Amino acid sequence: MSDVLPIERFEALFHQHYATVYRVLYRMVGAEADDVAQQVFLRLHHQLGVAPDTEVAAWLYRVATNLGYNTLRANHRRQLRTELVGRLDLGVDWDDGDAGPEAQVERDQEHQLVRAALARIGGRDARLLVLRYEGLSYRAVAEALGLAEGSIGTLLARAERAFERAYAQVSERRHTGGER
Amino acid sequence: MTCVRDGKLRALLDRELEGKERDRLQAHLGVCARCSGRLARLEQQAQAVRRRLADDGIVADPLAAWRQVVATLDTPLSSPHTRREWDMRLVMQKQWRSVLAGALAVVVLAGVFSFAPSRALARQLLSIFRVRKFAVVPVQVDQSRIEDMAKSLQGQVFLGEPTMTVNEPLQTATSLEEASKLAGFSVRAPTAIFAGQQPTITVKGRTELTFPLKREGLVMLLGMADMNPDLVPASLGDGLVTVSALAAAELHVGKYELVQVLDPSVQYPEGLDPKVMGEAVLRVLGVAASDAHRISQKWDWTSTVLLPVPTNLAEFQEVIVAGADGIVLRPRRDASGGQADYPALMWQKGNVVYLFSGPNTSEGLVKMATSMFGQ
Repeated sequence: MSDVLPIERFEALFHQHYATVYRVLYRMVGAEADDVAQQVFLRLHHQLGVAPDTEVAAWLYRVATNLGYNTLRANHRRQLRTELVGRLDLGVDWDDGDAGPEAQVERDQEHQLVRAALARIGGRDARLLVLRYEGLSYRAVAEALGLAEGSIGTLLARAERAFERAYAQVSERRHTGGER
Repeated sequence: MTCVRDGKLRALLDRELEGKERDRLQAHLGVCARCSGRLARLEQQAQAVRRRLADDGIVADPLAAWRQVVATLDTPLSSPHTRREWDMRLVMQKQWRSVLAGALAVVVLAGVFSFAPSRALARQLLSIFRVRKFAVVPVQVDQSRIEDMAKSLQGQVFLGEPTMTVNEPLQTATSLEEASKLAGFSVRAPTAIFAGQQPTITVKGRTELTFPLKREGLVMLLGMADMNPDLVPASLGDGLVTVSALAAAELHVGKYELVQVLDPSVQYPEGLDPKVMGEAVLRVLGVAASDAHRISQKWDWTSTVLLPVPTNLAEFQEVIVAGADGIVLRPRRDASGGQADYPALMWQKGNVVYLFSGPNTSEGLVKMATSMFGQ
């Protein structure tokens, strides 16, 4: 008796959901999205009783954003430690194709700031934003995060406000020499 | 109606309110300056967040990831002959996804809806659209609206994600001769760019991309276009739309990408009025109602893929490639001065449709494309 998902079903679910899971994670953890997405799907593979397909998406986004947010926070703490000892490491990991060095650095910094802001606003808000801005409906976001669908508009507006505030703060602190 | 909370206004922006609730709120906004002002602020805030969280440049590679996962599991693939692939989505992402995501979704729709059903095939309950040429209709639509629309169309008109079936295994070729033999048609490459470089060539056999189609979605589409939803025939139920090709080849050299598709066609449930659906798509994209009607009536829907190009986001140019009509689409550099993506040239010659993109000017791409035909 197998204690994992049948490979055929796993393969179908993988191809159905991988790109979305990856893009959600990329906003949170950049180039580590590959690794984290792999962890998510390996968990799915070993998950007993993850049945109806309609619930799989919610399960995947819940696990992905949990793992993504944990990684994001860990990276953020590491970044802060690095900055405290005076070695600003931009953690360049954004593949920008042919962007020139200056544009590359600028975009890397922008993405760093976005992740720093996400790391500051709390797990629920960060997860809500990345799922919504990946295009999930309110219902899908609610199912993934275990929230009431009717509350998503309110929480989203609040999360956006918190994110913009956090972004302004980290942006200002970065420019004045060290984000905390 | 009394003033509402931010959450309702935010939901309205995301088109998450329906029916009477939406109508009441919209009516209230017409008379309440305070709520209108709050709505504007929420929209501004959402746009700012959207800009920062934009997914430009995020390119997933599900096939590579799947191979990695399989290697980890040490389990063989369920079937080398039938699998789901997202190559089209990948191409879409590579080809300035942010600009064309919506347009491509509509291209599919245009292909799906925009042509008169063939009477001869009506008894088979399916109609077939064969891609024979491209034509451009300039539209004015902002990027966020395109994205919203693409998501609405994907989520509402089509049920779930498309399924791609490759009836023959994906194969890699080391030369054009080998690729041609595998594909069953003459696979070509520009001499100018590929000289001295070894392209990566992938060949697919007969491929089908299936979209589950939702009747309610069509009704919604007409509603979005301010057209009478009753124009969707009552007899039309949910169904399947299938985009298929006999074979396809993809060549990559550096940043250049060349896709060649043999005899692509679209099958869809018989009974849709193509002119009505085409008109709806154009109106949703911002074409004036009278123009949308005129275009939809005069168009040769039997063979032409209509490309609605948002002129504020992309430029287009009609060109000739070895005697065939072609179109170059070039994204405009974004307002923030970010890196623009590469132009893409598409044309059709014989029964093959070509899509060619890379780091070059429009003229350069046309010159290279022309060299594919010994000219």
